[in-house]
Amino acid sequence: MLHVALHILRTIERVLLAGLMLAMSLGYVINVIARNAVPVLAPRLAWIEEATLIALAWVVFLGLGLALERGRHITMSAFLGRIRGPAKAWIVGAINLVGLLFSLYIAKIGVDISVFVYNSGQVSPTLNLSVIWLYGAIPVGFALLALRYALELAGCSRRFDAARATPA
Amino acid sequence: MIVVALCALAFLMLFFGFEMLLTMGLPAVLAKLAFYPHMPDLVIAQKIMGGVNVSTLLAIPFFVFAADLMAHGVIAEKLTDMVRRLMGHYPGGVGHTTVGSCMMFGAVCGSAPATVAALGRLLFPELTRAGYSEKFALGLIAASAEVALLIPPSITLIIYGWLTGTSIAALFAGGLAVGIVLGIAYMVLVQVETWRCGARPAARPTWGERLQSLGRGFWAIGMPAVILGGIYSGGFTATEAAAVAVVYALVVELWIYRALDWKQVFRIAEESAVTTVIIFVLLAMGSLLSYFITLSDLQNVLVSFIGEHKMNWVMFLLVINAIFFVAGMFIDPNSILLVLVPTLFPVATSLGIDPVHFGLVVCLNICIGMITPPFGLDLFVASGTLKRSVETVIAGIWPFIAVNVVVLAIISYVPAISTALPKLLL
Amino acid sequence: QQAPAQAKAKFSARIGHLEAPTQPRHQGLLKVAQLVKERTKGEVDLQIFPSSQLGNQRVMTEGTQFGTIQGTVSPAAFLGGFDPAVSVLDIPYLYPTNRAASQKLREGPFGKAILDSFSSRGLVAITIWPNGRKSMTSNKPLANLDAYKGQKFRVMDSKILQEQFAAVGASAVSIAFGELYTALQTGVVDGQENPLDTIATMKYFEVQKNLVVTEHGAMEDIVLFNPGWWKSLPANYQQIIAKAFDEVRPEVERNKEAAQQTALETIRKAGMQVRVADEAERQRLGKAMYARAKAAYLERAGAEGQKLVALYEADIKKAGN
Ligand code: NA
Ligand code: NA
Repeated sequence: MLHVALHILRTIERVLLAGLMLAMSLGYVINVIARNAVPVLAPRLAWIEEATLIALAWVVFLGLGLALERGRHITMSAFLGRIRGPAKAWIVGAINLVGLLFSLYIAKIGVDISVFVYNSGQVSPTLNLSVIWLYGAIPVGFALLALRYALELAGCSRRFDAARATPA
Repeated sequence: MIVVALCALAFLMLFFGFEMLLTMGLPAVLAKLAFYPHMPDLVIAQKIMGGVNVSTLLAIPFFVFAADLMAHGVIAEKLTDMVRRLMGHYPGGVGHTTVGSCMMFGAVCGSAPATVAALGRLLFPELTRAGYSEKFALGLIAASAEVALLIPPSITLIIYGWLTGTSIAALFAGGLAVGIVLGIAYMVLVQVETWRCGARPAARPTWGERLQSLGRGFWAIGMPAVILGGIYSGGFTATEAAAVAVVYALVVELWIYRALDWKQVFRIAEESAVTTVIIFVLLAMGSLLSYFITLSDLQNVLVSFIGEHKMNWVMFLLVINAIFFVAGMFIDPNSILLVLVPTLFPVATSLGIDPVHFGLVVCLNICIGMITPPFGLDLFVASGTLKRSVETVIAGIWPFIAVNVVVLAIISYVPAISTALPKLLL
Repeated sequence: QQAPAQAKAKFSARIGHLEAPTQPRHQGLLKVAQLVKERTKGEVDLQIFPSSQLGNQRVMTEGTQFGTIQGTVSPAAFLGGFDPAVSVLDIPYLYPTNRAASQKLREGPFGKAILDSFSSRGLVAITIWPNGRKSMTSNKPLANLDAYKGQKFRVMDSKILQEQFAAVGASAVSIAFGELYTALQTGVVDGQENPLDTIATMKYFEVQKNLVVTEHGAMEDIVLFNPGWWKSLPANYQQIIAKAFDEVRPEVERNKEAAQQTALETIRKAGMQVRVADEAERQRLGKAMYARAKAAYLERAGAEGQKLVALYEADIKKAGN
């Protein structure tokens, strides 16, 4: 059950990440082409720049959990790589616990800021889109990160082994 | 007292293998709670977003994506094949090519991490193949990219010009000179390393082989040609060029060389996204940490320290370099620029230091901050894009930091290097 | 954790803005801080953070709403996302060339209505400071209205400014401030609009050929405070602060005008082609741009915008008679 649910979640994350990367690149280039080929169109496409920056924020935060699961987050693991046994288990447990609490805390503040900007009515200058579309990436992303730390803590996933298993 | 405790916590977390995002994020959050208890917590989310929601940073994910496409396809191979055929038979040829490509790339791009992202994946395999150790290759790539901040265009120099009212054209001319000096210094190091590690040059290719590799790589050469041409002709900005590079690589790999299909493109896009994530989350945490350092009274303490000790310009620059070096280890370079330059610039000019000279000393310090651990953006980008541990990158960076310190001393105490070219040209 | 000098203050405020410390706005703010400190016997301490040290303008305005900082002085052009009504100030040639007449508008019902419009957006706006007028530069000639056709200008992110250029057949491109110098140099855009002192500080004259002193856009600074902090102040301290801003305003305007004059000299000496647009040319430009810019404004600001425009047009008529 859990595995199926995680598989679905992972697929959604992957499709969104890849889709956003492609969309950002294509959108930006369409903007360049339009500006050079049909300059009068440029103001009509000004929203692309703004949308790309929002998309970047979503890529960055949406991918936090997936990056953890794959052991891709930047870490100085020389010491951890050298020790074995219960000492390692304790340290990894501490890391996962701190990671879980930290991500939950940031996710909570992310919810607060999203609610605040939604209520304040702040919109983006060109798209006229509520700024919740920007800040919303923080609670979603850090919730996904918290989920991954929780899974690590529960022993359902082991990123420190995953990181070593992937060919460098 | 609390500051010491937080620093100790950060170092312990770093040592025990906590993810870097926690190592930077947790002490920053604790600093907020300890020193600014009444400030709404929303500031934490705001600064986390502030670190990534910057339009000029877009060049990084785009160049990461373009480089991944080229590396999984065939453009990278064709380009490096050309480097090998044309330069591989000179002793140190591939190493010098790395420095040279970063200098060329720096002439269109004003961002050091974007330079690492764009060139790292092309040059790294070729460097190790030529016989350099992984450590040295990583260090060389991370360090050479700095030159992009010095060789014009450079956003760092533009911001300095805006803060101080110094001519940007003069700063650019000085930056070119300093960038070349730094490039030459790296080349000397490359030559020494080539002798030391005994990296053997490849056999001299025939002219036929050279022409053949050029012919095979026609569409691959198109990549740098489109980027350089597009920027110089005013077709697009450096950030836009990065997106153009992605689309160019897509078109060439999908439809001309047919080296990739859409399924592979999807997987590469996802991989580039994850690389972007691990770099940018550190930018986010760096922005949080830097904010609380900005708010602290540190800069006033520094200025009063400098005011109390009557200094001449020689002493002053020594102190400045020490301050920037330490600050550059921990704080993001833009914050250093915005916070320290306005307070230090009037002191510098009152001591008779030329504004252009001071600007280049500052800019070189910012460059060094990009490669000094623990917080060095170039180190993270090299680690993230080349999939090597950040310790390996750091292990390889020390000789380059040493070279930088020597160059910094020369630039600081031979003002003519920075000021001669601007005077000649303007 | 604070330095002892600041520990004495009962009410302290961090105020952020995006100009460099040498520019008139920062000098003016330092003066205000000093006056306020003297008059409240050190009980109110306004700490001024220049050059975007506290974040970009969007972040500073938002921070003022949250209360992470207590105040910001923001160009009206950056506030449209928070309060669509204020974008009326983006409309070209809204203010007459005459500075005293412009001040009347700022102080009159129109200016008051702009300030009031912030109260429902979680901000206290206490006054408007003038911060110069934008002029046009380009590498292509700007001899007459027709010359604008087909040119590319960099603008700040604003629908109204995009329409301002569309109205004369030019196109607006959004480019980050830090990339603009290089974009002008390589020709990604032909031109840009900024006050003369910005053109001089940013050395755009090094990469631009022609300057026309059009003074088409008023750069208006809105002084914003966090409502919670503002309400925590005793009424007399609120008055002292508001009065200090009003007292310093003429000096800021004088310094800004002087800075523009100095800048004009610098730009001339640097060899740029300089032309000061006469009143007739300004009228022509204004007529060409006003309708479309106003329409773009009303589309975003709705009924509230209608009211402000009506107030404005009434004020202008009054001044005309
Ligand atoms: Na550069
Ligand atoms: Na550093």
